[in-house]
Amino acid sequence: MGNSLLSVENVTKRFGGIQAVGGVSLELGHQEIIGIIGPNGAGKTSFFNLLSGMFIPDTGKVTFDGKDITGTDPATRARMGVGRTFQVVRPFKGMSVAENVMVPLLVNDPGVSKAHRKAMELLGDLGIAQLADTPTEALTLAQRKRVEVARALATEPKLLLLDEVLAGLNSREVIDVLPFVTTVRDRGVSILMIEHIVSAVMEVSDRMMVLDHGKVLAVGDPQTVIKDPKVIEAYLGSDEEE
Amino acid sequence: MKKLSLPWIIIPTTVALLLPLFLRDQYFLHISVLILIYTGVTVAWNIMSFGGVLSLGHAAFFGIGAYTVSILYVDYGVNPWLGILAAIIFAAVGSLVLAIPLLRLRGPFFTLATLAYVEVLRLLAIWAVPVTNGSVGITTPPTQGLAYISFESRQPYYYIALAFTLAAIAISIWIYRSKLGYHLRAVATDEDAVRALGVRTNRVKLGSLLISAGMTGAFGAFAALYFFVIEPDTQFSATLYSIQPALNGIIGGMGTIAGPIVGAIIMTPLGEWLRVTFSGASQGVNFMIYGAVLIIIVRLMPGGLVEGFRAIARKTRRGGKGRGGKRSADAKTTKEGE
Repeated sequence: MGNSLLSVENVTKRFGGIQAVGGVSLELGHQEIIGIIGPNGAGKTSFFNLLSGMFIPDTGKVTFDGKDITGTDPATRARMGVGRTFQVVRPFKGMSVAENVMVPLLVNDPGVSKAHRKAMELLGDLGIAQLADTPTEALTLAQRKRVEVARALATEPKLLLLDEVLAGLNSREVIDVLPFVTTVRDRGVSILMIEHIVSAVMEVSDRMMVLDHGKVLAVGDPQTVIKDPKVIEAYLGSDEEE
Repeated sequence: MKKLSLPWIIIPTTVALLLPLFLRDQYFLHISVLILIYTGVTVAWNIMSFGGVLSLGHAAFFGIGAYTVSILYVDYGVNPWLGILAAIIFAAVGSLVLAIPLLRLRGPFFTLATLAYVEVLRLLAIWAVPVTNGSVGITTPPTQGLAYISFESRQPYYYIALAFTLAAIAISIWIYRSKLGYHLRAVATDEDAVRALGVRTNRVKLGSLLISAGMTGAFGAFAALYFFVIEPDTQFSATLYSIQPALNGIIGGMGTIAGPIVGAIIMTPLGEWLRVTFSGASQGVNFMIYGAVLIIIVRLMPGGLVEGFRAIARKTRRGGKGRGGKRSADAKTTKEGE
């Protein structure tokens, strides 16, 4: 394992007749950003669910920060430092942006007013302090995505799993949100990010992993990975099917 | 964080405190006590709906409370005040049966389980004659005095009920603004997302169940002492103590602080007034009218009365400034986005 933060050894997950994740291994270092790409149904989100504890793998092992977390539940993993965002962002209804961010902050029970102060600080750091009192219902999609990231960051993760934070944004908004990812890494967080916009992931990733049919097709330097003939075939092939 | 608006607390509390000085009529006092009991039960019920959970099982907790205080008082000579404390504990413990469906079933399936639980307890109360005296029920002793929560006049009952209800409202406000409240309100939107943030959602949901059930047990116990007589079909009545509080809460505004209070204050006297007014007419006319009122309110104000009144207040205020048209159109789009 060496000094990697996250070590995934050959995890599998099967749903009935479908092999969602078929033996994926991955090492993630401290403050490393790995972009995960792959066609629809490649098992990217399922892989995230295995890491965050939503699913327990059928076989394989997940080690985080030196501890075996293979069978632990999502709340425990979040407390250990595994934060995640969801593909479909669902901000908590009837609560302001600051209150949304307070939900994870209150886990460690600092008291409501202190949690509010911390939430304001975090929103300030991320440059969205002006949204603090906005009800989440009134946010644009781009703003919601940022709130989703802020909320995940409030758990003070060592590892952040970003599930398509750029999806559904227009190219301007992508340019707005992308620097967010490096800002987060600069706070000392390692990142795994699933993304469909290949050019955007390449820009921020240290390494890239390509998944197809639940298996790793390629992993390594973004420039090399993207030129891999297997990757090109899988990617373009499935795009035509869509 | 919203600040509590003091006038909204002080004015209604003062009115409630002074009401018996003007309302000498015992019947009106009786209605007032009923309103207070229903407000309390609805507020207790609403603590679960902070977490987006719809319970139709509160008659179970209400009945457990009623039977606890009565059996302890009649069979074991336990003072009713202590009996109310015991009722809170027994109702909370009794609610643990529902913990299994609460943590395993989602949405309507849990709601159905709660309804079934009420029915099981009702049948149990009829069947377990040595303990509950079966269908005949239990009559509490006529010994009067504050120590026994038994009075000739309805005024003392009113003040005790008021104290209980105010306590329930205070607890509800405190929970809403506490860590538990934040976590519950978040669970109402997306439990998976809340778990991924490190919140142990099972504990949060269980906490709301225990508190909600305990509070309901206290009102069940008080109501038993107020009515003197308890029996399975009334105390474990799903219509009276499960559906009615849920209706009050939904009509007023589920999951809000003020909603259940407003709902109970409006719906209780309405139901009672219709029942009395149309008791001579063919049976069921009162329910027809009551049902029609429910449909109208839900159609016109889908977010509940409190939300509806707020929208009307906003509109009239803006209309006064002469630029209501555009602004209220904006308000509409935001609302639809919810």
